Amino acid sequence: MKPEKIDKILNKNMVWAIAILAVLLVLAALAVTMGRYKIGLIEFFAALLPNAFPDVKVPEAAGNVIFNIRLPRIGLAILAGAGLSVSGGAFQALFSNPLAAPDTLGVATGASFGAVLGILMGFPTIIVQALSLLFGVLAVLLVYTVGNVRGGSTIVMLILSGMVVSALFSALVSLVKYTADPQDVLPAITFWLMGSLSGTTSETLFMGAPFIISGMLIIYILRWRLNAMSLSEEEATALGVPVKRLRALIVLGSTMITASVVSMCGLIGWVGLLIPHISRMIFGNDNTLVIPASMGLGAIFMLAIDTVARCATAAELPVSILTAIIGAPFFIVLLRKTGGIQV
Amino acid sequence: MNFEVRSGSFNYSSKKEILKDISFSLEGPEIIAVLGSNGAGKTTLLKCMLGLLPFSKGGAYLDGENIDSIPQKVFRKKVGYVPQAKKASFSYSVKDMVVLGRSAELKEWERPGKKDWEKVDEALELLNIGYLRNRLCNQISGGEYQLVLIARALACEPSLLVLDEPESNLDFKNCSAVLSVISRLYEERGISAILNTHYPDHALSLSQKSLLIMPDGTAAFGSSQEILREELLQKAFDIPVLIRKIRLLKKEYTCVFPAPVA
Repeated sequence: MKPEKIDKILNKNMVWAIAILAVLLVLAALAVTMGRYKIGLIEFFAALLPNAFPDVKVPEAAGNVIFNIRLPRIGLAILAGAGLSVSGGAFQALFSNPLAAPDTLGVATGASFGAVLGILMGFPTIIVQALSLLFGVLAVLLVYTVGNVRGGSTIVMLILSGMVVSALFSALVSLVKYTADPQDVLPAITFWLMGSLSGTTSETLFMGAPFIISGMLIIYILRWRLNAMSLSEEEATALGVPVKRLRALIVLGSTMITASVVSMCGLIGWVGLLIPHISRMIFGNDNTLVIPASMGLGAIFMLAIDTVARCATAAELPVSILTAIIGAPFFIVLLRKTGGIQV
Repeated sequence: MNFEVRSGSFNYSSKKEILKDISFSLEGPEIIAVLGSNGAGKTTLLKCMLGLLPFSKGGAYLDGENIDSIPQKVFRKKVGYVPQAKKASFSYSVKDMVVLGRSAELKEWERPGKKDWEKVDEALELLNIGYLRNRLCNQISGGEYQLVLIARALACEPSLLVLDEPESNLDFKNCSAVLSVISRLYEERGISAILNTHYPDHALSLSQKSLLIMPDGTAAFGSSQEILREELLQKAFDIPVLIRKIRLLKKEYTCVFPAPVA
């Protein structure tokens, strides 16, 4: 390839990266100003950088809302959106199945069972989160064991075992709900399962963020390997790819993300399936591009959805409903426009 | 380079041995064809040779060392595998597919750099398919895709290529393109090849030696002329086989065909 051609591709991707980052920042700033408590854009910047705006007086309540409520929630929306998209994209490549997503393989259901069990037992948040992570990993391992026949795992077997394990864990979730005290424990459980970011504080964010960020980092670092991992296991092994080790690492990263997101904001559907495919429609199937693109687009999508969820009506709307209602038509439009995924 | 299988046997969980006490060796640059009826265990043998399946008895040796004790990365760099051209669930561009051949050269966290992309271009140029570089793998023909897979194996500059029925499912033109690439790599670069094939004529024109897997799991090994004879082929394929030489334009061709049933 000629050097100027390389430059052109580099520039195209650079432009996209800068555009995505810019949109994300603008959206985040706007999201801070939106909501029941009115905050002006100037007020927000003044609260952020008091020295740059000496003549703007920020009320204490406004500062409180910004730093203790809105910024943590925006941070979580960005992390959850980016994380779920990366996790879904990685699973799709890993299982060479375009339909794979964090929740179709049982991680999310497993993780929600862990969380729900923790809530039932009245454990503190950190233990709930740890249990969630543990059961998320357990669910994936189970899916893998069940789906692994004759030394190979076919796509159909994995989807089937994912469905079975998901069904098993959702039955267990129902069992926990059935035995839970309807006065206080059951509402808390229902809250986890509906998918909402409303409970976010900086404490919960700081507890969950390291898992999401390190999970994303693992997958981001190994993103080129996902191309080889999407081939058959034998083919990848013959290319000199340490399949078993990489698979374990990617599943670990993906599970850390999903389990952590579920433990903080419950089940959020669609994002992990939708965003990686949107990225593929724009950038092609090369995972070195799909993964970073999914990160950026997922963050934007989730932030937009959550802002609508908390501002559209007087009461909070569950996020999972919005991801489908807004996501599905958007996906269809893009599908028609780009001619679909290059399978 | 020297590659050897010493009394290799293989059986799946059932008691019947699919491969029984198979031995052959490849010394220096050489092309070996592996023949046998459907289900005789050609692909199984290939996978055992590549360490993708374990021999139940015996083993494969590269330069005298058992392949199980050779570090993965070292072995994969020396032996390139070309699978049957099956389309993947996600279709990558040709260059992204070929650069995967550099996997063994890179550390787990590394991504291909300038040197790796140069090797990709070299491999594509070597097979004269540079024009495919930016095309998508699902938008090229089956023959072109098979060449892409060979280019992928060549990207780490192996001294032995192991090919699983490289010319199956291809038309005359693509078939001869793939076969001539294999023989050109051998003649010009000294790259050895072990290939599975269903066509004794291809083996006779391409390979110096042949391994003919019999229905009972044993195999006959020797020079292609010596092994691919009517009696042995009849035994292997359970059908009368005729071999005739024809002269066309001062060149001799060998034709192998099943005898017409009277």
